[in-house]
Amino acid sequence: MTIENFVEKFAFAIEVETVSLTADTEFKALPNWDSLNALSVIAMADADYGVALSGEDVHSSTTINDVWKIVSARKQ
Amino acid sequence: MPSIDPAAYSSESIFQLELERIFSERLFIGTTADFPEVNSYKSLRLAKNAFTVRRTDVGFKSFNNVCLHRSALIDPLGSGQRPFRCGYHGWAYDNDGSLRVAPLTDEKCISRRVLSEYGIGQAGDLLFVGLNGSKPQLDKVEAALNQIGVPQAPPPPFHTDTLMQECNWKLLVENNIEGYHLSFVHPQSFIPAGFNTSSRYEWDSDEYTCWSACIPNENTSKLKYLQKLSAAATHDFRHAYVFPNLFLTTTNQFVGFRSYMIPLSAQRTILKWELFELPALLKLAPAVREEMKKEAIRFTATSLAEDKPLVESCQVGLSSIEPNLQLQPAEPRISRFHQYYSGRMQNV
Repeated sequence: MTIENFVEKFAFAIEVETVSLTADTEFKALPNWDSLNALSVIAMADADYGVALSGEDVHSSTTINDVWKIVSARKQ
Repeated sequence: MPSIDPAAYSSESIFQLELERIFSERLFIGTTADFPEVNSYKSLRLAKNAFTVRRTDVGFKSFNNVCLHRSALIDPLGSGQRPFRCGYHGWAYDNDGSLRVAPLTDEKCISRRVLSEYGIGQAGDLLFVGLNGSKPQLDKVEAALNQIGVPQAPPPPFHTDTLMQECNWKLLVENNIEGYHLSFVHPQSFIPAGFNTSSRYEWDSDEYTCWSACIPNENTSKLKYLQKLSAAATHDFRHAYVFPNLFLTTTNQFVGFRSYMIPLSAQRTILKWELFELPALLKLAPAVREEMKKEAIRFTATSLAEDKPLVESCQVGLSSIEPNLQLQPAEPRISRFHQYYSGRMQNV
């Protein structure tokens, strides 16, 4: 359970190349980011980490690392 | 393409004829979920008609809601659960509309003892009233629902709302049954969701129902994202209309939308709407379900708010001294609607 692994899963969820993202990527500034991407991230957190994210968790985060902090904290 | 007379959008005398010839035949009033127990009621007004629909121990019934004593409304406007008894002097009625109890009265002073009863029809969980006294014709409703993927008995709505529209009811129908306006009116709802004026549009119709599917082009399709959430997902906006006042839609096989109009006058209409979960949404993880429901509420409220100033501006234009109405080939369901309308109105 590492941030690198989470970035990979995040990229897969929103259908972008893994190399185009880092932990510091401001994901809501990505060209095609939309509400469906937010749903995909919520679904990924549920399926891969067993963590329930809310839309507010995603909307209030700026970077992928911000989302990761929420997921990793709830996973413990 | 031929259309109905623009005067029909603002004339109160034509509106009165519409009530008699159209709305008295088949009026959607709600679903069985609105009547959870015996004595649940929904009390409505349609112009000068005050009527109530009640769940009784012998099924759904509809009556004139004006007390035989002094004309108070027996069931107060709105919905709830209570005995069928006037709150003014306690006159109470049976399941057949007959007066059962009239406290401290003299029998000789009561000449009328039975409320007028209206027809009730049910298609799946949908309830309709025939204010002309006949059971409404509903034999085509189920097929229309099947076309867009609405289950016979969907779960209760997760959101209900009401919108007052300063326009004729026909403008709401017409706006609902064409996709031509999407690119111009919906920057915060349909366009980001992949639907626009150029989307593929398929439609068909029956005697008093019509339905359509709006399917995004390849460059705006989000199907692969949606199918990551559920293999049952589609990327389409399916719409059914049951003449005269009911709309149903399904979005991506996840969310159902049901709305109905109650016209108040020639230029004022209430639109009631609600959202419910479709089977594919019910199977998603709770966190995803919750977010999708929130997004559906935002999408729907936004798209209705985007439509409102346009339909109301059409009302102003159609009420002006020089109204225009020139239907285009991209608006075939409106032409179909005008056929239904003209057929019932006998070309008034």
